[in-house]
Amino acid sequence: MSATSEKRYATAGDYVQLLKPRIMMLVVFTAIAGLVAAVGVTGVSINPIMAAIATLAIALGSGAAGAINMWYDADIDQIMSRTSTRPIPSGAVPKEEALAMGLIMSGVSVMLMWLASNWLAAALLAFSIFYYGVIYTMWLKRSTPQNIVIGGGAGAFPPVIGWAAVTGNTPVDAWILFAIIFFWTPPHFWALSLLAHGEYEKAGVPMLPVTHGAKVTRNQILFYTILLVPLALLPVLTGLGGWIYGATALALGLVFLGYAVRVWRSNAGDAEASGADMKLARGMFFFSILYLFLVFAALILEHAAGLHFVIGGV
Amino acid sequence: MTNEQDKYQGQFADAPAVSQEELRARNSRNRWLGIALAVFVILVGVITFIRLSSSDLSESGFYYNMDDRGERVQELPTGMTPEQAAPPPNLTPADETPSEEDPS
Repeated sequence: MSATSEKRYATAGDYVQLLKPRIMMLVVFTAIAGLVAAVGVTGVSINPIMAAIATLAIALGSGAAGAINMWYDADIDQIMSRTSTRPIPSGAVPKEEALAMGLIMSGVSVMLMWLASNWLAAALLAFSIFYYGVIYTMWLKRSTPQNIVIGGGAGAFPPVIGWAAVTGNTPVDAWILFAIIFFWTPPHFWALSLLAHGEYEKAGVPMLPVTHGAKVTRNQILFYTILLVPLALLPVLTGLGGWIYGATALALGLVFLGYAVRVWRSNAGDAEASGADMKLARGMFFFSILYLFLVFAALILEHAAGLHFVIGGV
Repeated sequence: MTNEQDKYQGQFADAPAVSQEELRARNSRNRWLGIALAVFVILVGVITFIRLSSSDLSESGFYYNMDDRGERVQELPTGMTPEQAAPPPNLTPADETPSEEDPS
């Protein structure tokens, strides 16, 4: 079981690692964007403390889903070097404890969300935890190379939940934010899998580069990036995003597309890939994180700082 | 060996030995669990406080308001007249019901 020969005892840091804090940060950030945009667009106000508790509930829900994922994936995490130091394969946290933590935190997060906002936001949070913990982790991940395309839906829910927490409904604008994250996920994740496809193969996870090869993956990365760039400009048409958002999404989208084209023309992920090719794939992976962060930051800035100047009016 | 372990020395022969490191880890974990529980209780308290303070329960018709004389008056639901709200005649208290045999 243990990847390390020496038995060690779990620290608070190990439990934090179970919650996948880096994913949690992005989840919380996009949820705040949905929350702030909902207030800005609809004019509906929310008590700031309630908004903070709703955001905390989303963070807890994300952490709960992460813990359930680590519980179920402990066997393959042990095989891949990238994940072998995680709390369960390293022997610091027992599997059952991670599962219990995930389940308890799921319940607590949904309950807090319900108390702080409304049943719709709580139901969406519960469904997103189920989506990631069960649909993606237990079913899609090990059964289809489209795992992260369909599974991307789980990570796309936070802005919708944030929106629902404020207004109690989910209009088209909220689902546009969902779609941006949904179509962002494949190029983001496949850029990483081009780098780590050997590990996925070793663990028997049917990632696209493993089942269809690097060339098909590079094609798919380009395809989804071409879909993403105009989609990210849709908020400008609906009035959700203004000038600042539009300019940011367009500029960053073109850079993202530039990365996708260069990766598409490279040999990244192939056996004969050069160091420069792999560096390109790594660069695209990191830029994709920056892209999502800045696009949503522009949205927050516009609505929170009163800089929301809609194209064709004020 | 800690005082805690000294106290039970020899009483639980089958109990697994707990090292200092494990004991420290266990204490730390319990402390964090306690903090998490306390935070949860505080959060539920804060939510309850905000929800109660932001809602006017007197508008629900459940509570009575006070009139100018300091007497309790019940607000009627929107659209309901005092006649509609009045109890049916057979439930009206006897001293308020006009008697048919009353000569006056």
